[in-house]
Amino acid sequence: MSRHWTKLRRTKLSRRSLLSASARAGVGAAGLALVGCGGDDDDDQQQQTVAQAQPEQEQQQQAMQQQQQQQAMQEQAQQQAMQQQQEQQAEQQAQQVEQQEQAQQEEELDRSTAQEEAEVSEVDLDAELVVGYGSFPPTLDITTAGGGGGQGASNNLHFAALAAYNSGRVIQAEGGFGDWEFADDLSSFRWKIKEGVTFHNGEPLNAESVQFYYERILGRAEYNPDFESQLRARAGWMGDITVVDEYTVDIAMDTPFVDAPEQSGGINFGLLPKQYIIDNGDDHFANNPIGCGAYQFMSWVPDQEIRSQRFENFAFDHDAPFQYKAGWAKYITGRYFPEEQARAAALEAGEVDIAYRISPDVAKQFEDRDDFKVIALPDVRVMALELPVNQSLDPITGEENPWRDVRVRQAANYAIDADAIIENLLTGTEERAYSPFPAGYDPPIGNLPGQYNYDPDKARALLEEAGQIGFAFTITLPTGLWTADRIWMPAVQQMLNDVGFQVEIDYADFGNALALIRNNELPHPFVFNQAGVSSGAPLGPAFAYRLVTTIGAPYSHAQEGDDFLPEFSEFQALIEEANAEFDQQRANDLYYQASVISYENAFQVPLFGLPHLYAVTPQILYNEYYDTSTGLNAIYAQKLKA
Amino acid sequence: MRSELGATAVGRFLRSIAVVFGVVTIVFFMSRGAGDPVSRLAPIDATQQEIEEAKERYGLNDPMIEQYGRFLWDIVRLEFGQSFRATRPATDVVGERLVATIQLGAAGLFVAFAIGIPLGIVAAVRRGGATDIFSRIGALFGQAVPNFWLGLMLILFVALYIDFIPTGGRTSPQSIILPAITLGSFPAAAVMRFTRSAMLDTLQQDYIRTARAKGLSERAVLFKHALRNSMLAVITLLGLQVGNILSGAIIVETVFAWPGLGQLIIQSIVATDYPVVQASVLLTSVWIVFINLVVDVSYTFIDPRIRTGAI
Amino acid sequence: MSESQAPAQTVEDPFAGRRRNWRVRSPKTLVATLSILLLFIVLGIFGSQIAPEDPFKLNLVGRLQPPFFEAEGSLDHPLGTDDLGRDTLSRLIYGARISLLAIAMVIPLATVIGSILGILAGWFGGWTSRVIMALVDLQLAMPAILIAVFLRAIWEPSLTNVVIVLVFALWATFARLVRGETLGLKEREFVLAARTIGANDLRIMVRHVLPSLVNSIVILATLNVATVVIAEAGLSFLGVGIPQDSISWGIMISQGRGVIVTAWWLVTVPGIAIIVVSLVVNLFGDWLRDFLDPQLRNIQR
Repeated sequence: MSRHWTKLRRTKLSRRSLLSASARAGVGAAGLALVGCGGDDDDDQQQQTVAQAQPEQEQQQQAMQQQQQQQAMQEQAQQQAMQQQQEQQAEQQAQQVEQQEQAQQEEELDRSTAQEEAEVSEVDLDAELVVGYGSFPPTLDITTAGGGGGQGASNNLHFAALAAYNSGRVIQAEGGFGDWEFADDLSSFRWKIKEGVTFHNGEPLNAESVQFYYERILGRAEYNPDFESQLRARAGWMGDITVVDEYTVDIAMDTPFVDAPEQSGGINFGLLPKQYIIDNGDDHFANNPIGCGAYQFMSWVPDQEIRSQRFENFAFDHDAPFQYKAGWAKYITGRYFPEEQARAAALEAGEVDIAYRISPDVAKQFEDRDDFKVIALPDVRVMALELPVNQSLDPITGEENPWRDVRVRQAANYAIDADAIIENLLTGTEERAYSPFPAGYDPPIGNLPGQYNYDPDKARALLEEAGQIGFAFTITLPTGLWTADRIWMPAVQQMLNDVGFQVEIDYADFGNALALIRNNELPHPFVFNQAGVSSGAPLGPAFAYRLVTTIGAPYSHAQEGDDFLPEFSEFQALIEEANAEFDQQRANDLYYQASVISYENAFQVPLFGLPHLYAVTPQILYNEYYDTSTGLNAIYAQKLKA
Repeated sequence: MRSELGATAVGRFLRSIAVVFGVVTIVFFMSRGAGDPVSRLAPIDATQQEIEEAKERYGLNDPMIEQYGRFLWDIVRLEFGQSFRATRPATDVVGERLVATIQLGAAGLFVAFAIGIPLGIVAAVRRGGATDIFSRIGALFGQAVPNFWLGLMLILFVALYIDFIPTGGRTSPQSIILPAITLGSFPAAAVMRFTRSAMLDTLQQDYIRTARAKGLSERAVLFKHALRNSMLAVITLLGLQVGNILSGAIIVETVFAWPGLGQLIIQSIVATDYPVVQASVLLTSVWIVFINLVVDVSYTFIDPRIRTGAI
Repeated sequence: MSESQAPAQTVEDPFAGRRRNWRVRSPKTLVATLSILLLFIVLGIFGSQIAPEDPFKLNLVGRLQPPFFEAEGSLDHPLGTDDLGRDTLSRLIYGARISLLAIAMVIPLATVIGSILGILAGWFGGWTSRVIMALVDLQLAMPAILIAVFLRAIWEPSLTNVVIVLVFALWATFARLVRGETLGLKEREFVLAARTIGANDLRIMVRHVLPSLVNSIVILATLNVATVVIAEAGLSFLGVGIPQDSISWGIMISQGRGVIVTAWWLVTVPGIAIIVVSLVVNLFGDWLRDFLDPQLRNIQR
């Protein structure tokens, strides 16, 4: 599915197009393709399955069979639709770009109404929406708040970025506050900023603010060169940042960077008011954020609540097709309940409208009830166990690193019954992963031959053959963000122990663990989500492999100077070749070959995608939009009139 | 007489200073043992050289004794450095939470004493009666039930059924009811047992017998003499309970989403935010020492007979 | 967490032996108390042989089965299963081991350290006493949980951390008690007599003072046992206790709280175990006090 998008983007690059209009159009066509392919519709269906469990169903088995039949039929229909769509799309590609754009927008609107979304007249626009969060940000400055709790409770509300993802999860200028183009020779990247946008305090958004924003992250801003942000690693590709005119900024690039739009205009790069920060300082800003997002900050009490109100001068309205719709509720109050059951109780007692991020078990409490419903959003990423295969010595024992032996790695793959975990511990709707790309990804990287299906006897035999029965190691799990982490991880641990490993789990703080991984201070396996793709999301192989597994990627064990396995070098060479390949078909072939090598050599243990679960009152409707790390974004939640 | 009392107070004060000094020393060596804060502070893409420079800047290459001296000086100025998580001075981050925790602690103590003292008195006066037996069984349970369990039970079985009482947070005056009960239940048992025995003790004293012999009514004997004197003993318990209350608050705050110091400490330790941990631990300790000092000194002034006591 | 609560109260309770009517008096109650204690100790030591199932064995399909007396329960898992289908009864039995281990390490250590410092302070007085009492104050000023939190930052979670924390929390109560009693004993005739015949300090402390203190120390130690059980649970709840993947009652409660609404037994069963052990140990302590302290017994009669 994503092929077209990637292809178009690559086409765009290979043509070295300067026209942002065509870039936009290209991406637009991809959006259409995606929507048509049913990726998101599939999500919707999952959502309904979980959300509307029917208590009156007495003969559950029958019901399940029915459901399966329905699903099978729907899948068929989808496949047909997909074929049709692909044909259609081939035609569309031949058509004029303007037409595509138009068609895409229409499709977008159709989709909005088809989803769980009410007419504006039904929505209580004066409502206060109260959301119970399980984690809260340590600061309200988007550049230091980190991911996790801050994302939904503050970042997404108060800040807006230059670009946005549309509902097909494609980054694009429309819906954000900028528009991009690459220089002909790819030596620089240009943002054209939308005119007439203001921050909540009235300060205008212009080239100066954008330049200031990047320089602040990079520690180049004069007012405080010591400023430090976790985003700095993502901005490492930026050379000089120059203001061209009031609404144009150029970013120099040492090497052509395909992901420049995402990595300078994406969701974490929320725009900031330059003058306000210089006048008031970073400390003040961290407590009193000003952005240009759909909600403006009112007040916060750390670890208690964050109150925001709709920004009435927001640059988009409710009909905006992309991510930045105007807020539906007049006020959004985030409340903090670290205990999950206390959060559920708060929903039950009517103190909050949405219990954010609950576990599948708590979801079951609300599923069977008429007075509540559960929303399940699939994550776009795939969980996997990253193995240290390129270090010749085990850092703890000082002996030969057992992970060098492919049999040990395969044993770990065979040992884990991911299907049983999905079926029993999660919601049952998650996708089993076989690579960073789940089944359904096209080309079929997810459908590799001879999948490591659960086979404990084989796992034990392999481990025994390798002479590694009793191999003891630690797995670091970044906790607190991923659904039910303390439920499925012990199961994984025990499954590994059952075949002869001796596993300890280090349940680490999320941000802390990420820092350790990035600093390359974790010599043992760790769990990470791979920025792969869920059905329909086009964060392609280039993006995934830029984050994990490959040499020097932030969340990879492999670093320059390691003792690479010959197979790994082969894999790495293919990835590098693919990353530099502008012909889409050829690039995909290369990624496929690389993934086969990765898979056959079991460089990692892919697990499954995870859902995001929310329990809400019946008055809440929620329309899914792409949102990198949090799933539910309160801006889009609608509270119906009583 | 007065000057002697003053001297005792001064001695007590000096002892408190010594204790605070001891706490500071422990915190210093523990946090240095906890590892090198620079690798956490440094940006993700920092080079080894930049890290070395940063170490130099923070003085981490200096001799331990020099670092210790600087640490002491920083503490005198209430400078704990920047919080890694909040990127603000740790003192500010901790200061914001102090009020909430003191509020909860005070409410918890109030619950403990409000339940414990009357029950203890009744149990002592009607020794062997129903209240006595019942409250002592209650006390045994009070000290055997983990407070996190009690907290969850109160949320599920009280907050959900009484609209007036919220399940958590600190958003309205009644928010404090359940956390305070949870926090107070454990010390309430101790207060009850202590009050009871202090009361029994007093009732055996000669002057009570004298008062009775003088023909004073039982009520007058109880309230004018026995109670007043037993309460003096109960005050000492206050100092002992402050530390326990603050410990309990760490758990209770997590369960009830009370935005206090306890939650902050747990989050900071998980995120290895040492400046905040140091600041919280030190402030908590100083607070406990201070309360104990006040209790001891005031006690000495109220009842000079006690000051040489072995307690 | 109130590690120093019960003991603090005990120490300063001059009528401790006199005030109980509700106590272990009849032989029947004593037998019951002792049997439960014995059962706890046996489970703690021989748990791995007794447990009907491997407490780590997963059974994802059969997760969250209720105890046998509920409609959906069965005798295969008399106390039901947890969120990974592991047998609650077996985990409960295994969990006793951690509690017992903690008790077996914390109580003797705290008792020995506290008693030695207490005797020294009481016997020598002056600066020795002042320094030791300042240490006692130090303990009071640093609640155990803060120490636990700090240790968690330095070391990986382990039982050793828990032991260090609890010893730190409890030694002071012993020191306080022993110092107080030593002060009293110093003026007693047999001690004065020993002095006049020229026995040295150490000899008097070991030969004359200590034997007179043994009873009080044993009683206080018994009463602190319950504190250890509850404190371990509390530390595990906060994640600053023993490792998350080992089995203790505190960890069982901590892990079960996510499903407290749908699977009440996961929190309740270990909770009851903690309450029962604390109660029984306290009752035993009361009985022991009466038994060991004939003076108090006489007063009561």
